[in-house]
Amino acid sequence: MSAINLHPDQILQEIGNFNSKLAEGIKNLQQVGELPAGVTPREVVYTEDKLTLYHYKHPDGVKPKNKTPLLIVYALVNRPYMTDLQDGKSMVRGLLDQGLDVYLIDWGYPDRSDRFTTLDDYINGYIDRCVDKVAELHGLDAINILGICQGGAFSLCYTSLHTEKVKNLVTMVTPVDFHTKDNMLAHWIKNIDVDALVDGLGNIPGDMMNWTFLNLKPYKLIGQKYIDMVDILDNPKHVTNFMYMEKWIFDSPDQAGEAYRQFIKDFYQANKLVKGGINIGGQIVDLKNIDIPVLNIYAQDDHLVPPAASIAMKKAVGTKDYTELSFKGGHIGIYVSSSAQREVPPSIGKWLKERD
Amino acid sequence: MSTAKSSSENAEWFAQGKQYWDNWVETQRKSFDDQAKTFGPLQNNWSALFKNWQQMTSADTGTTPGAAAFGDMFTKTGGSFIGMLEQFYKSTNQQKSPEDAIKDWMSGMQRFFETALFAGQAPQQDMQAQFKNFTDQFKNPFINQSYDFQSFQKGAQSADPLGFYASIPGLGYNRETQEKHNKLYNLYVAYEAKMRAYNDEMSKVGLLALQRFGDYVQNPPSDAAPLGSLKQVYVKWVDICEDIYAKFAYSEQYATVYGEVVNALMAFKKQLHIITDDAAGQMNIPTRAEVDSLHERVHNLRRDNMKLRQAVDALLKAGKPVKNAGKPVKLAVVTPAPVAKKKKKVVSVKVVAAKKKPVAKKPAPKKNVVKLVTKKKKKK
Repeated sequence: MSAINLHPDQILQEIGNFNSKLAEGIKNLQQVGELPAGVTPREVVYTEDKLTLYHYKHPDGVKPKNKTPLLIVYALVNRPYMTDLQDGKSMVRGLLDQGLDVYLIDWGYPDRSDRFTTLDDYINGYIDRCVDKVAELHGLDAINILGICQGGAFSLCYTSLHTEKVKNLVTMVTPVDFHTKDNMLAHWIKNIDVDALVDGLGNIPGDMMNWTFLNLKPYKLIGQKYIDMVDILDNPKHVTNFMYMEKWIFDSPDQAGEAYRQFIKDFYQANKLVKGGINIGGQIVDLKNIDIPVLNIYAQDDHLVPPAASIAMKKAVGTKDYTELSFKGGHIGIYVSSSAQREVPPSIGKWLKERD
Repeated sequence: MSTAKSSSENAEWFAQGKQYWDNWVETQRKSFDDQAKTFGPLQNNWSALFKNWQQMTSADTGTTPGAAAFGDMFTKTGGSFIGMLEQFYKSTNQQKSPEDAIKDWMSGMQRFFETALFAGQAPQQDMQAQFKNFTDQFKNPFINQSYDFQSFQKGAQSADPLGFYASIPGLGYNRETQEKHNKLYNLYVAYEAKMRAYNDEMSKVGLLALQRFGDYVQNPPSDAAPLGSLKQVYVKWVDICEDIYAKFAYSEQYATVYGEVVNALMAFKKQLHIITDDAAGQMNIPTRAEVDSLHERVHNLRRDNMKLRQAVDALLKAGKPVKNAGKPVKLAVVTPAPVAKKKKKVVSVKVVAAKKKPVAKKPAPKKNVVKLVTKKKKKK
């Protein structure tokens, strides 16, 4: 049997189609225009340095059903509007539809004046003050937290140090065991001199982080993706969807040097989140302290946070009330795919309602 | 009035700009249409589209680290597919069979990887770009002006190819300066060697992928459907490349060469900063080290201030009256110890972390595992 079945006339046809789509595409690309960073109406309830705490407004006719609000703690890497990317692809909107009162921390874009911001500043400082603010607005002692990716790791640390302020913890695509065999990022970084990196660069450029992520699958993410894009260039709607994602992927804030230094050394290189010994502001993080309900959601095809890295949470936390949701999709699909819209926010809403 | 005037001027300027780009886009579109009809030079279409697109949408591709690298790589990776299309197009014109066209394309790729391996260059821009991103930072105009890095890069090795002068210790008045430059030179040479080693490994990955692709073409798996379009051939090639690359990227060898090249570059960059700071000092402008030092001090002061504010808030909430309420209150911070000449009335605040309750050993928790499974959409 032949591996290839091509005919000269078909080759010419394919080349012609490709060229036509390129020609048509330039018109559609021009019409995309400026894309918003988040689509659901929101209000600012607190600011500090470059941080902004947002409260999302409920759609008309929907009122909060839960008395405990939910604070989303996103990663420092990339921007949090992935959770509210566009109409019909918004996890935030899905959570609002579940009757949840939703807040989100936007970290902003650190610059060189933030170079000395540490994990202690982020966890015991910024996150703690945002939690206090949300709790104060609702007259509560404890609120719900939804930590995403690196923000999930921060939320675990925060909860272990401030258990009394967190009623329920939800984590999404959150790494706990950084030394699973399939963790390519951890494998790459194990021989990197992180001190030299931070001392040499100050803050870690967002572009550099992006290159690292793209190089996990370089032929697909840098090459094939754009060849595939030509197939959709003649469809304005698909071009717009593509550009929403493209905007988000390359909207990468720099990482504050000192926080990056500790995160890579303690979490990636020494795997202290499971082994123990992470020191945040003089206090040692112990995940066994987490005795509140935990919902851990991971993505089966996640190439950034492999499922095994996340599932390790089950044994690490001290709670008796631990629930796991396995989503069939990838690290990004878990926010934007149509199946994610159908499954993830309702699951979170139901789980929180039962524990409100 | 001036605001109204400048506002109308702005509107006019924007209108003119928009008209210019509208015309440009229309010209490009017509040109592409013509080429599409005649199977014109696809490679030109691709690079023209994206080069111009990036220039339109990004004002600073020349200075943003990685942007230029991305542009190069982007054009080349797209170009690899289009190169394949053109190869097939030429072969078709020469009445060659598709099988022969595949062979021609693979021979060309093999020559490319082998040449790269012997020349010690990166065969794939997408691999090299990650590191080019670092080196792009040297294109920063400030560094170019203050240190003339490009001249260093081009000239240093031809002036001192064996590192003879750079190995001689400095003497006399300029000893310290010379030592710094010698060190910089040696670090650069070390980085280049590590980069070459990395690129060699990546060339081998390319050759291995090509070999695997050749095996697939000659002996396809019995259950594999024939590749029925050039796009399918390209996707198969990408899949094989990813597979070979992933195996290498998970190896200890990769972690070693990757770590070495990054560490070597950072060591070089750190030394470059020292020399750049020297140059800034000579120009009587603040150095990075000085600015960092100030940032660190401000940051530490701010942290102390935050903790004190929280402590004061806690005291106020607890209903404890603060002495001298309503008047400015001076707060003493334990470290660093203030040198107080006169005794002043101070309110000493000690920040104590909330005590954690000891965690009692718990019985093995009952944990729920729920699987959400999404049904795959059937392909039409």
